[in-house]
Amino acid sequence: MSKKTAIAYCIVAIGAILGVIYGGVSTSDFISHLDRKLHPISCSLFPFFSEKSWIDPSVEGCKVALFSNYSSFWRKSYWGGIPWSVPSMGLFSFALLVCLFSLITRRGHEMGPNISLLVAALAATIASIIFLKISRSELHVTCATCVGTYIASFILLLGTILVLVFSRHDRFVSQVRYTTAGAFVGWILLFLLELGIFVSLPVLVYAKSVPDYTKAVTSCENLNPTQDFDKYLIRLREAEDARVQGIFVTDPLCPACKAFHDRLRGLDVAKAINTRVFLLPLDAECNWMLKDSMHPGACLLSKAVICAKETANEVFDWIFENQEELRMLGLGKAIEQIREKVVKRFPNLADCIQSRDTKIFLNKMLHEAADMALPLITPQFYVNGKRVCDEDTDLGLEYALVRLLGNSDGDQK
Amino acid sequence: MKRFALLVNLVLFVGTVGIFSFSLSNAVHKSASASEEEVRAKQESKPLVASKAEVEYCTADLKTVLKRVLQSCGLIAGGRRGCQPEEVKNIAQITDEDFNALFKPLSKRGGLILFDIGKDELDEEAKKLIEDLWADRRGASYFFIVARASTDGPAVKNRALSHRRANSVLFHLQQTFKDPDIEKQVGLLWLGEEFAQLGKDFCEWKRNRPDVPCKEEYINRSAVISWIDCRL
Repeated sequence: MSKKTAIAYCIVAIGAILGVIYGGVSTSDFISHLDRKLHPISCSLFPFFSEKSWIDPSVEGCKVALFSNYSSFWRKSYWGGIPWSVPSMGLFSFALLVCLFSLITRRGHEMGPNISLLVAALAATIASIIFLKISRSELHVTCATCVGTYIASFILLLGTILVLVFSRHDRFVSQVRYTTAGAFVGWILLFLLELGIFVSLPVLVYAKSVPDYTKAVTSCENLNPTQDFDKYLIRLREAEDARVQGIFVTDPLCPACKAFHDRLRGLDVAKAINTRVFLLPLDAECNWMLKDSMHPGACLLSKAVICAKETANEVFDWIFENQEELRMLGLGKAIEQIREKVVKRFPNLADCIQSRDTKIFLNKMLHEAADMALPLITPQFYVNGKRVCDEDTDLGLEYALVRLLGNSDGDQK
Repeated sequence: MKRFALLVNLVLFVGTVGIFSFSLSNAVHKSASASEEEVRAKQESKPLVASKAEVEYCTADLKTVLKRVLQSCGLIAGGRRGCQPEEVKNIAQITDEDFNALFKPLSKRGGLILFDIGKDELDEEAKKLIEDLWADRRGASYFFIVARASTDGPAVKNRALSHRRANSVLFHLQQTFKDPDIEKQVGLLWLGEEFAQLGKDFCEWKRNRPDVPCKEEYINRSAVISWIDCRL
């Protein structure tokens, strides 16, 4: 093996080490959430030189990516699913193994290491392109740690191309000879088998290590509906294959409710649930249970949803689309401006929002909440009368829904 | 040479895969075991839940009287609706002053519906005040209508008059809101001229006739109405 090939392997090693580091950081952040709580995460191209955070705006991209449906697979079978960063780490670790093997044995120019390295580099690069496309077109965010992995993949591919070019020359010069054709194929198969094990074994180990959370995700409260509860539920849209009832307890100005709603709409498993909304505005203007408003303006917007009746889904979607702006107006005590915005967009609701009957209806809705001793938080989601635990409203949502739907036939187990 | 290469490959493979898998499994176990502790802790803690209003003036004394009145005057456990002076005296087991004192903290919450002398008809302002106060329920569980008559005329006639005044308010609520819950929420008392006449300190209450001079004889031709923010 020539010096040039050795240098090319060093480039491969740099890509592989970077890949292992970024994959390790992502995996570590993912694993820390297996206690079903929120934790600070890393989101930097220099993860060892920046603080982990949960509230810093710079980690927003990584948060979105982490909680998106694309961060892991087999989510129905394992709480949170298996993070893609696990097989990714396996792939980069394998590339590192090939580098070490080649540099120690000086046989890096042979076909076994060359072909397996090419397969690993192509897999890493294709996966990076797919994930990059998803982050741009679906998530609309840039996740710095993910970008690090993409860079590592491209360095790996570059190094591999150089290895292939220089190895070809080395093989010609050293005239590599195998005793039999079987030995030639055997070396290639050995490396490809190792590549397969490197990628699949960590996935299996991870899957085997994640505990069964079935008891935990089905241990939250039951809904105790009053006789009149149905009268206060707002129908948004009918699910096509709905076979069970879901109740979404929400405050129109609660950002977590919007995030939950978006996540829910993106899930296949949610298509089996016919979701209706129960409004619980955390605004002291109408909610006597609060001393201070968490979301000023939420009472007014709740009235708008109530008034919309058959077109409630339109109003509801508009509120969530403009939630940040409306929330800021509310926090600035500009309730009148919120009213103007609502009336400008939905002029036919103007009288109803101010009517006494609407005020009474909203008040009765809150009394229903009191009669049912509903937890005073949003969002809450009930499936078949059983609450999705707060800890399962993000990473573990799909896993929890499958179990609450009474269908534990996940995609693997 | 090939044996050496094979050995290196094997050592690297087993070593790397072994360390990787062990670290991964260890990290997952560590994080997941924290979750089990959390579940145990959570089962012991209770979340803050939605509830009816309970404000400062809901003293034990007030609740006792409220309970007696509600039970005996047809709100709790069904039965007939409303109580008259003699019954209120017996049920509440408190003096006139103490009875009125119970309602004083409601000065900003309730209203005073004034009637013409010898009449039980509601004027337009009275209707509006009743509707506004009814709509401003917040977290209250019960709505009280406590009607009276001034001391002009015979006590028996005034007792009947105060009964009609209380009913006027109730009927208006029923006609306007057509809400079956009214039956379960409204407590009705008619005190005639015999029990707990209002003093001038009730002049600060919202009235349907704010321009009428606040004299005791006027404010006792009235019905005090208010939601009560107490849980019983």
